[in-house]
Amino acid sequence: MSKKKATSPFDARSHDDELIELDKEFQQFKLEDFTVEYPSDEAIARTIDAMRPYVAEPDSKRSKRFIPWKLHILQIQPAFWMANLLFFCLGLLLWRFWEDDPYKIMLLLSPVPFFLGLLELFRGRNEGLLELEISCKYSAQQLLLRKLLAISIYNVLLCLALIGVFCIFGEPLLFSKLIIYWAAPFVVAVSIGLAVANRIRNVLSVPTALVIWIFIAMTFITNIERKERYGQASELPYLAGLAAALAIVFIVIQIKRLKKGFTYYEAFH
Amino acid sequence: MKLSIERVSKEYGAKRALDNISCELTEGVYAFLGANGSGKTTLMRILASVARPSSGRVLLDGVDIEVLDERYRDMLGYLPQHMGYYKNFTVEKFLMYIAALKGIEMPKAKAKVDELLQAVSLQDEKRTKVGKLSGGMKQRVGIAQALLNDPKIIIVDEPTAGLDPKERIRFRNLLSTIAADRIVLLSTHIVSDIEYIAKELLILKRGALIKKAEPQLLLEDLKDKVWTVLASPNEIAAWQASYKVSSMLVRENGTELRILSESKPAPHAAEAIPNLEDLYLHYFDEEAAK
Repeated sequence: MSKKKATSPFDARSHDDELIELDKEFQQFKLEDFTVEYPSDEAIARTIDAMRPYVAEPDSKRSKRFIPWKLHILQIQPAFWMANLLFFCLGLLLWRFWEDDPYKIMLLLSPVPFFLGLLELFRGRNEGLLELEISCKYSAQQLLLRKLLAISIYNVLLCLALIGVFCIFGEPLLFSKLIIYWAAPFVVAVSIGLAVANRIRNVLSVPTALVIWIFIAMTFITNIERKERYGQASELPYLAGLAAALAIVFIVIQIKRLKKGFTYYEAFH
Repeated sequence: MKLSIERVSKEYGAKRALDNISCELTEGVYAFLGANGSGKTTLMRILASVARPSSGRVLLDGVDIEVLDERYRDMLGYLPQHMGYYKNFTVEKFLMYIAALKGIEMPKAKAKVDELLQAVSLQDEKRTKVGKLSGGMKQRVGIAQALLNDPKIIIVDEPTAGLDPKERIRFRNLLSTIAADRIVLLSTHIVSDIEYIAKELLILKRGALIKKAEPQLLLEDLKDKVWTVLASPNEIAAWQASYKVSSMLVRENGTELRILSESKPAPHAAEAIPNLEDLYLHYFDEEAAK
């Protein structure tokens, strides 16, 4: 409407006049004379009430209750615990009867329980229960983190038990070598497992993670042997420390990504 | 208690599953009626907080359910349309697991599980593995889990699928009994499930809420539009081609057809009292024909 008016020269002139008039009116106002009345308590209270639905409660007010441990033991399949005990026995057999290097056994076998545990993370989804789990009070995210923690603790306990057996019934293991062959690679393996799980959210994530891990572990062993041969073994603890630090950062990122995927049902579909 | 749906839309890529839905729900049973793909399940998922609207929001007593978060889920009982089970769990263990997820203390959970197993007639199956139960029995386990935490809001998506008529009546009565001080949202294809218990019907078509009213009011819209005619076997096809036929009843002197028509379809046609099946046919003709 206003555009049409402006196309006529006469109308454009009258429009300008209007603006000039308006300008004059504005000039008459002495803005410094204006007072803004402070709103009444009632008006403030009304505004707060109106805004309340839009304001999230601070995190500290939210429930921080943890899910009882028993719940997770209840949900993780007995087959998981059994399979991992078998891996523990396999480690012992390799060491006892094939006289394999305990460090290499630790390197190759230690992340296996964690990889198998990845299956448990997706179990609810695989069995069609995720939608219901998300709707419950304890969110699927909380459940996921608890499961990760349970699996990791079980994994570390098994490894410590294996190390204990090696030390008691064989030569004592060197702490620095354990860092290089077990602790650092274990953290790297966990980060790989989580990265794979984030991309392949089903049963295939386990063999994929295992294949990647075996490849990395074999490359690692070959490189370590070469370094030892050329007298560069002193660098190894530092390199292991650096790898572990990077892997921890990567783990945090991957856990955040994984949590995001458990927030809403459609994130999985 | 008031659940308000405010301009909720949901898109999956280019597909619009829900289109600007707004309504308010208070205590009582609300039935979502719609054909496949009408958006019922999507809306149920949003109300159950397992899906997020692309736009709009859901408020409980004026507070966004996303803000309420855990507090909202704490008062929710949800039965998804397709629910899985940990098949190696016994019925009791499965319900105890869900009770734990709902944050119910162990002794209270045990008592509640027993009470609900009784209510859904599964007390003899409590030690049976879920994988060995029939479809109807699994559905009853699903219903029991939804009620574990004495929810204030109950959302059940196609709850009577797989239940036999006796079980359906039991479930209907159970919902009706507990709905007095709760919001019960029920989605179904089976109109007889909601005929006597729904406070209001919400009719969804292609993602839009096209009607929300008491069943009687909706049925009044069909007044003077439902007719019965007696037809000989060779006339039936012609009637079906010309009118929406909601049912056929074989009688001694021919077949009684129940017809939806704006005007009297034949001089010998008699006016009939509309029912919810007529209503469904009226709104979802193509789907009903399938």
